[in-house]
Amino acid sequence: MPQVVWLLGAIFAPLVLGLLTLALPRRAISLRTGIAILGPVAAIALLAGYLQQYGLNAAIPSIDWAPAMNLNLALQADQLGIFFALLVAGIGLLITIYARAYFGPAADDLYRFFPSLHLFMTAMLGVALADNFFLLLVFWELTSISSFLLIGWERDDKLAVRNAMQAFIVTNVGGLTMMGGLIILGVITGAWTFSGLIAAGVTSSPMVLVGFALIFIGAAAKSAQWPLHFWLPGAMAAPTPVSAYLHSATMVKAGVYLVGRLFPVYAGNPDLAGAAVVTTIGAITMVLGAYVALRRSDLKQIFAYTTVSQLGLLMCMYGVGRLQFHGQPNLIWDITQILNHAMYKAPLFILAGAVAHVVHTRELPALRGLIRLGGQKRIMAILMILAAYALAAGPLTISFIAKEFFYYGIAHGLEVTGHWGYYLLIGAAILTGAFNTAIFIRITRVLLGQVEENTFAQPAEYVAHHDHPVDEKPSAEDIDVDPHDHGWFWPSMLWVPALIILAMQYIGGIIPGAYEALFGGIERSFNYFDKLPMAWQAHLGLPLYMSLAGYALGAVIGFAPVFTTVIRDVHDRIYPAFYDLVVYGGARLFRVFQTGHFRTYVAITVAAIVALVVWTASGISGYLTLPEDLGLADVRLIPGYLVTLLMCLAAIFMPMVRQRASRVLVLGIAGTAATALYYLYSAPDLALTQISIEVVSLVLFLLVLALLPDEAPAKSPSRPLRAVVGVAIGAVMFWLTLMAGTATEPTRVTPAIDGKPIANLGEYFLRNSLYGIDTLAMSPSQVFGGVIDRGPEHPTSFGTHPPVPENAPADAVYLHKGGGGANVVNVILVDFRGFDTMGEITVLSLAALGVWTLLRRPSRHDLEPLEDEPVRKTRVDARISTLILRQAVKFLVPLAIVFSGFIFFKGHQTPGGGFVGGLVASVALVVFRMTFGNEALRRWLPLPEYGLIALGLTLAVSTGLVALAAGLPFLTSNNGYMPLGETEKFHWATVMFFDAGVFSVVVGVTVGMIDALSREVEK
Amino acid sequence: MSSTLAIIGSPFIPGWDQLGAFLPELVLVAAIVGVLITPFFTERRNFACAVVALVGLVGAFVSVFAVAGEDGAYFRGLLVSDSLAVLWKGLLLLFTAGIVLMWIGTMAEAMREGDGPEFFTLLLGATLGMSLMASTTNLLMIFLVVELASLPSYVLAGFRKTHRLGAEASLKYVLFGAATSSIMVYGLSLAYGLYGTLDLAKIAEQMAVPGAQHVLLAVVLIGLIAGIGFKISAVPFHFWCPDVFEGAHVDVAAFLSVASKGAALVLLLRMVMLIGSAAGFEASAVTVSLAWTLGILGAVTATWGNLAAFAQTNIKRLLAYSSIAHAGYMVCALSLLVARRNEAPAADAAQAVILYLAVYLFMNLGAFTIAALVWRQTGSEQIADFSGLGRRAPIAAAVMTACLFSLVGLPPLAGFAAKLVLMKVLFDNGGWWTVLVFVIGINTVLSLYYYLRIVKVMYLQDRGEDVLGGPILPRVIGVACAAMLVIMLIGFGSLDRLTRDAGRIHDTNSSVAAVK
Repeated sequence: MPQVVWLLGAIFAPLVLGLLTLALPRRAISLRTGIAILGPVAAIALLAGYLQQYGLNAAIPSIDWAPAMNLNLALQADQLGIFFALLVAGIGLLITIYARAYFGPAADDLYRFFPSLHLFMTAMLGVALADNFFLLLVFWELTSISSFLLIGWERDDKLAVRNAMQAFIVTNVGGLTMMGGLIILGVITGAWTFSGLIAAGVTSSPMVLVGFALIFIGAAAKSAQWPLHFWLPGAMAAPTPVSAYLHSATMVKAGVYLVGRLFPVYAGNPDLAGAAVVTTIGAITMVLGAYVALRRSDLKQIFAYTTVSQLGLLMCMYGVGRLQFHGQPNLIWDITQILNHAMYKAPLFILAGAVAHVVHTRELPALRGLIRLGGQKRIMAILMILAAYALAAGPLTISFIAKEFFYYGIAHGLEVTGHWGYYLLIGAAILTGAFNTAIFIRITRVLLGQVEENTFAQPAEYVAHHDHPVDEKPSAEDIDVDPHDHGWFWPSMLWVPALIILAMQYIGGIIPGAYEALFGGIERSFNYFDKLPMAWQAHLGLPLYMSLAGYALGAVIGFAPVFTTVIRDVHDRIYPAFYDLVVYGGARLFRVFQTGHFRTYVAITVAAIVALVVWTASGISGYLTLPEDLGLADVRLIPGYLVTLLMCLAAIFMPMVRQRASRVLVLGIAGTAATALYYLYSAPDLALTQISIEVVSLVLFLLVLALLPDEAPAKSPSRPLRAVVGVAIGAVMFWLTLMAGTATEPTRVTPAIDGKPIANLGEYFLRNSLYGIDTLAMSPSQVFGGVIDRGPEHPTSFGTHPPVPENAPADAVYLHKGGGGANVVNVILVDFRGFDTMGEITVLSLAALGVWTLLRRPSRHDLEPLEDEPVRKTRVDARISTLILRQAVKFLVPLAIVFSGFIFFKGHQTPGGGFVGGLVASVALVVFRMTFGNEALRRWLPLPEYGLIALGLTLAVSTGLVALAAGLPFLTSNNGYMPLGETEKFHWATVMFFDAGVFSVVVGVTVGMIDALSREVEK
Repeated sequence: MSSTLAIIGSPFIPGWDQLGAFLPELVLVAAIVGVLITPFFTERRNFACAVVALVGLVGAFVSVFAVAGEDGAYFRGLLVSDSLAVLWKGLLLLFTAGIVLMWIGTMAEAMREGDGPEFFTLLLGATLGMSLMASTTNLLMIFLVVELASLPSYVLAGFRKTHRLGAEASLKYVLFGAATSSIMVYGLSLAYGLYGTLDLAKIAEQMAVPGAQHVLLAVVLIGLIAGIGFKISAVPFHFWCPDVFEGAHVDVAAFLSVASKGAALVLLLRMVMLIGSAAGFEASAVTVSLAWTLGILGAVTATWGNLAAFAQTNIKRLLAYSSIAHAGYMVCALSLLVARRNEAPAADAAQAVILYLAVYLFMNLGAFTIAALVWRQTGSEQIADFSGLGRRAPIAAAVMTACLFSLVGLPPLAGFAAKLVLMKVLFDNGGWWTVLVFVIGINTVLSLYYYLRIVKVMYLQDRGEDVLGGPILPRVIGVACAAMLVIMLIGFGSLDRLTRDAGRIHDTNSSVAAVK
């Protein structure tokens, strides 16, 4: 537990202190810098404290975080981790100081810079020390985010912003890929930490290989391996401290680090021979990077590409080091190589920024004779030459030793395997060395002023503002502040950090013992030597010959007038191509589908449903077979065929008819035909309702159409396609209906009441509707024979009940009494579910009120007018007043009203009821209104429509209240027989009053709404 | 519990004693009534209604804790209450309360005085429907509650009354909804016809009987998928979503993005679990084809949503496609119903979905709130107008960034954990599910781009516009959401424990003894 706290403290110290600087006033630069410097210092101190206390490789108990998803705070402090952490914090310290010198006293920049930089520091420390996969991923993503913010530092610079995006996308795509790989390894091995994974080991399987491949892609993206390396040169848009720190010394090593982390897992594991791909990719990157670096003129670009090259080398090294040698892997952590790169590349970048700061350019050709300019410029030039010498891996540098390691690795690889690929690798290594040497020679020649002008081409790309703050960016706030520091301290801090790092490079190179004393404890084993050799102790052999060959070839290239022009890296096209493909390609593709036209949407959806049905049909046997005898020749079907034919004709004509009104009428034909079908096949009540609804909705439809703007001339090129879709969905629905109609019932549980199966649902409902469920005990013949034996006290009863005893519990009697009606639907509506119906008519009334209110509002004028808004030119008279109609209506309307009363009264036993009756009456009234106009209707109607509604609601509620008054639950109904003379009897039911209420409401609502619409049309 | 609720029901209503388990819904209904009568007492009707709605939602949220544990089937199995339902109701009510707060903070001024009562009635009504969608397995109730959730949504979508795009979107939404509803009812009625019961649990049991798998079952399932797919906005039933999001106000779009889709997902989850558990999670014709369909549906939806999001310039449209993609991820998980022939994978998937929803809620609320804030201050919904937000409104920009990164699934935000759990349950089962994991992975990579584009605009572009002022409330909501995203990651372990029972749906339904 305390171990974790130590390490977490070290990880988060920079971030905390970085955020702390935000609290300072903007101008408090010195204090800000001081606190910022404390960040890495605190990290180093805590790490040192930890090492003092626990030492390397101590087991660190993890803290549970979310064990269910294997997410724990598991850290590890092994050689690689501690080394990386110290590297990050150490270079971080120097970079913090350098940044202060670099930005000068620009308050705004520093305000923004330190928190971003320290965020990165924390993230990178976390990457180095994390043991848990997910913990690593968290920090890994944070490094990408901070890098993103820092690359896009110059917000006005479009190119910088684009490059920030590019870098983030590439590294993050890699990061997500890596996440996939780590999850795969985690699931397969069950170990969700690196230490656990190393302990468990893996056995090869396709999935493991996929996992490793995904992780490698992530590592390759982060460490700028070919072909994903292009983001790194682009990232040079960042301020130089960032380039020195993130994009050469630390962050880009994260991928290498990860491969190193997993190195013990795959090293020497013959199952994972696929790891040779690491070598190949690394080698390609190495050569390509070095070559392109030679063809660049901007200092930061040159160094960026040599970084790419070096990263390739590191990757390649891990690939080579995988082989067993003397019973051990070729290398353990490869720390020397990583450290070495940091110790010459960071100075190079620092100096590039420093030089640009004083001479306002980073173009190499423009730096001719820098050394002769004296003062600080001379120091910078000398340091840069020294750093470039390390880049070329000249003797007496750690670089030289590190490169020897690499060559030894190749040589031993060749020795062990004898594979032809190693010859290629030797060639690649020599070429890389040669290019690096050539770069060193060129830089030296230019700085010493030993070349003609115009020897190297100098296009001005990639210009970062901060490198020449004098002529740009005098921001309003800082106008009174000289962006250059005065005095000696801060200006010299532009190059002192480079000097410190370089000193280590050379001391280590000249006295390897000193290096070993410092870092030997971390890199446990040098497999090739007992101890690091002095430069003059170099063994003769293939590695040394390779070095020499590189120097020689490099010298030739460096002095010869070849490769002097600047080239573009072809890989720079990858990201724009990707961008165009997804953004423009995607946009075009989706404009085809998301057209904004409803008809397209419906067509696609319907087509998808057809496809789904067809797909399932192809998978299910029996889907396409029908029973052999469908009984289609039955004579009773013939009228149905005729009606159906009419319906089909209407459907076919529908899309052909042009005018809206005609379409509605054609639709009406289909509806009426459906009514006929209901009537033909034993559903007279449905038919009655349907025909009334059909008429009312037709009238409503036509009225609404009259409100629409005039129809635009139809133009639809995709008509045939839509026809195909239409026919397809029609065919599918036809088939499904046929299937459903002829389906044999599957085995199923028969509906039962109290364990007694109900043979016939219709019978059950009818009995329930008439008498309540107590008749279930009786046989059908008893019920339908007209006589029900209910016991001696009521011998001839037909549902009559004994009088309610006083104080009897309510349900003792009424639970077993039906509605007394044979029209099941009506009984349900007005009796069993009368309360629902009351709610419904209330809602209907409210809806009608809403419609009236809305129609009265001049809402259409509130809308923002469209430019090409179609207007309604035609004015429609809602009255149709021909002589024949007038005469016919005079007779027909009273007749219809009487008929509606008839339907209403009959409704409880036969098809009909308040609802249908109301509709029929409404139709009659609407026809009357359309013939004779509004005033005539007003004279005719006993009450205005809202009066009708009020009356209806009052009737319904009072029916219920009467029951309440009788001490019974609200809306309790009763029915019975009133004898009329000796033989006749009248069947009464209290629900009739309720039904009358429904009738009244329906009439009021329908007439009212159509009337309101008609007025609107006539406006 | 029931003693305190005894006064709610009257003896005339059968089953009044069972209302206790639906206290949140009752509180919502009371809140609707409250919203309707509030305008009579105050001049500031909009604001007063918002407060009443907020109080109702918070009250309903609190009452969710009271009903937790009242597991069982109520009203003869018409409604059920179990861990999944309770979790969803909690999330939904919390989210809707967030929407109301967001409205107060950003949209309130844009609404005409007097429209508030309508708006909040509709909002609460839709919430009621969505809440019940998690609580039913009865075909009739399913249809009813889906419509109860949909109808107010249609009106809400067109609530920008003077906006043509809004009116058009609303109309498209209605028509599209009607079309898919009709397909769903067709399927449901066939199911009723085939099995003679409306109880999906019983239907599922009968489906599992060998020989009882009628060929028309495929049509039943297609109908269900079409109806629920419309609510989830799964491809190809998604067309309404971008248009409606663009046409509606930000608050409505935000509401639909989580509440509507989440409710439908929970409903689908329950159905899938019932069908799967009735079949003993064995591979039968029904379960296998359902698993395939859902897997493909999820994969296509996620991919389509992400690809289409690339070219969007309107923030709401972009978030619409983003929500389509996220729904796709969750649908993928539902395809686990036949994995390994036992209930563990499906239960894990259910838990993963509810966890995902929980995280998704905060991501979306945060992102939409900031979008609403920008809209309030600039009147624009274009992504380009977010430029320089990092300087103009640092807090808002930071919140937006956190939400967007969480939507991608980047650590250290809860979206990462949610997506990870989702992918892990799929991966654990190997086989074709691995393909789904890769699809989600690739989609995550794809989605990175368009989310990041907004971050880029906010931080790396600046047209030098003025500081974005505006009220503090939306920023508070945003910060709360962003904080939740971090807190949820830190506390993922306890979230995991909290949701452990989410997948044990069939326990409530299949046991006859539980029917109260």
